[in-house]
Amino acid sequence: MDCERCANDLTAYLDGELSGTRSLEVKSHLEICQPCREEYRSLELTARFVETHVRELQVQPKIWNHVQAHISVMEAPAPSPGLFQLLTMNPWWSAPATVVAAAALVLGLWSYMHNQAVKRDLTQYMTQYIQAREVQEQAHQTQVFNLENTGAEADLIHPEYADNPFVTANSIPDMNPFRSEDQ
Amino acid sequence: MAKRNSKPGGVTVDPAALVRWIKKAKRGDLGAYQKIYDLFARKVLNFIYRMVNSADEAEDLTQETFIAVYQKLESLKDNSKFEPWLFRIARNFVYQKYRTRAPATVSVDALDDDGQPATQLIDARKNPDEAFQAQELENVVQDVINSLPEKYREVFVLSAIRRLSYLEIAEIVGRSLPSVKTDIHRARLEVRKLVKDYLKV
Repeated sequence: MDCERCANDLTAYLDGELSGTRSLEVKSHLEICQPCREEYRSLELTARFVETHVRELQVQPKIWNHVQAHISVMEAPAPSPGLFQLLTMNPWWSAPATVVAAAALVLGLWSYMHNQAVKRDLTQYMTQYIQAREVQEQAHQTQVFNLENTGAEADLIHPEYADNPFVTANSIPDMNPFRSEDQ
Repeated sequence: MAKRNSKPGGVTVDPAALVRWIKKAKRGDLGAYQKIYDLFARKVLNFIYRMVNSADEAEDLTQETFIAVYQKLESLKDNSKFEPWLFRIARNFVYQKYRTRAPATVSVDALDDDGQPATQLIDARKNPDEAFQAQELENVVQDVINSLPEKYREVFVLSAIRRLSYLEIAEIVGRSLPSVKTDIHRARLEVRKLVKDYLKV
């Protein structure tokens, strides 16, 4: 190995980057060559000087805190969009969808109110009907009671036909097929 | 000459454990990613710091680098190539931010509002004279690094300070191994020329 080739390899030799054979060649040359040995020595001192006096920063905890915070934000699951967000996220169909939704809301409200009114009228009608039926039933009970206790046939005649001379109690046919004349 | 196996920063890299953490981190395990961060944050921070010569900007870019690394982790095919891949991303951030201008030349010893150095540096020396002398020498080294051409500066930092292998450096800077080897050698010769006077002392 000549001095020029050795000089070019000295840094790699110093850094342990030469192959085994090449490293041995350099080592052998350095043992017999004083100038190359001095060159190597000065490179070694330079490397040591830099290593000794190089300034090293300490890692501040805030760096990891920022990294962690950033990563946590990146990994947080996105909130599922609500109806309003869906509408605002899709501008091409948001306008008609809003109109349809509003119309459905109005229709539903009208339908509900209409049903309530019908229900209220039916309840009122049924109440009146039940009351009338109760009055009729009470009148009928009174009439039957009077008939059973007085035997007055005239009471069987409806008050509406009381003045009618052609209407008699006997004129009302008894349609009961199971009742005989004796009974 | 024995090959240097230890890496600066006092942290030993266990390749098998690192691969396990990477696999977990790919599945979203933030605890595993924090272990990876603890292992490499100081290396990345100081690599960027030497490239931009500003502690604040180095911290910002380190933060951005580790966020991007987490986002892109899934794209890392060979988990054993994590370190060069990480430094390549850090380097990209440096060049994205500083391609259009020279690295900052302001001193990192600028004082903050309380009159204390704004940058917290590692300095275990207690003697004021020693500390002053050491700080002077640190400034010398920092100035020497900053004075190197960009092409030499990054390979010098990665080899002489970060102690990455030449193959890893070639992957990071995207150049051939012989080209990187030549540039590292030239950078060392340049540095030697600049610190020559201090070596005599």
